[in-house]
Amino acid sequence: MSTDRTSSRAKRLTRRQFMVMGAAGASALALGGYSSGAFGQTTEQSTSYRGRKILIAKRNGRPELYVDGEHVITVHNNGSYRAATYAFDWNSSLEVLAKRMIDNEVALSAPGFLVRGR
Amino acid sequence: MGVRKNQATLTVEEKAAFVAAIKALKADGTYDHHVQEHRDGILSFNPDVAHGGPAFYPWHRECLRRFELQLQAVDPTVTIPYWDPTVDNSPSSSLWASDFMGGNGEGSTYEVMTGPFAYSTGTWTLNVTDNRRQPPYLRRAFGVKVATLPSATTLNSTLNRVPYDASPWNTQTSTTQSFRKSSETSVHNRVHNWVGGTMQGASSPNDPVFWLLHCVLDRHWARWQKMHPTEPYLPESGGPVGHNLNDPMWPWSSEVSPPTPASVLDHRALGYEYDDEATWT
Repeated sequence: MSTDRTSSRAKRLTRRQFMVMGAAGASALALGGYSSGAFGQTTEQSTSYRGRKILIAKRNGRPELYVDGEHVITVHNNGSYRAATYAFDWNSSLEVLAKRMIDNEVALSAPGFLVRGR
Repeated sequence: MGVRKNQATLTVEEKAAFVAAIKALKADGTYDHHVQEHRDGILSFNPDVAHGGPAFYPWHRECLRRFELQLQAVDPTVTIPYWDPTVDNSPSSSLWASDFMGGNGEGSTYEVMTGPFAYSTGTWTLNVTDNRRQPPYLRRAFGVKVATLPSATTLNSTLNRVPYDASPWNTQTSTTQSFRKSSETSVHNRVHNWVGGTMQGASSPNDPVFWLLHCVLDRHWARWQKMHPTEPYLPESGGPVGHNLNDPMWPWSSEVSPPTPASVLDHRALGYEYDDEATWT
């Protein structure tokens, strides 16, 4: 009986425990992905694509994506980069992710549809 | 035992009951809670607890079953219908009629203007969004990101894939070596992106068609299990946290008996079946 209860308690993970594990993993993977990514070791890089400005800047030790000055919420987990508004296309880098989002917006004829959210 | 039916076979009354139950959950905040959990699963964890890994199917099975039980608390006759995108693969399918999911987005904003989930009804405001700048209305852009829905050939190809999953147990897993990876990309991701708009984001459950898509994917997993009865869920251990056979799945992990992939392997044991199971080979 006590063994069962102990086992059950051991299996339970709180949201806080999950969040801590997630944050640690996300930081480690994001930094790793950035260092080995298209923009190498630099802390800020920008490029133009189809008339849009892509900026990848390291903020608080983590790479963040901006398109035309708009911050894009992104994650690097499970081996790929994704954006909050573009979650079901897995990409190898933030730059590739940004370009695919821009391609989608061009197809929509709706600049900002994904990047700005409208 | 609840029977999940093909949406194309639903009666007018069954469609109305499903929509009414969804709207009841939206009105009391239950619906938005599901949207938030899905969004958090993608954006707040590494690994993502629900996508890009082995728990993709178990996590959504648990999520759908909880949602279905909540719908049934409103109306015991309701079950989640499934949408077969290999058959109902056109914007003119009855799925998108104004008595069910409503149609494609319109104009430069791609706002859904028809059906029970149009913003103008006053009952479908998006409260949980992917970022603060997103509009409060449902958006769809059929066929813009990807031109076509998955074909029956594609679907059958994924059904023949074994094993269930393979190392490294994430988005980098070889498509040819994993049922989960091949079906998640060529069916799941493709349909999300074909519908477009709201369905492309982490808060995609804001579009009620989310449930019909994930219902057919759950059926797809059940069919695969029946086709390959000796193929186990993988991994048993050594995979990402939350994705191993006996790992508790967030956001239910603090419950006394948290669901695990192992606890949801048998869909019939959870209290539901599919209308065409007798024809599965």
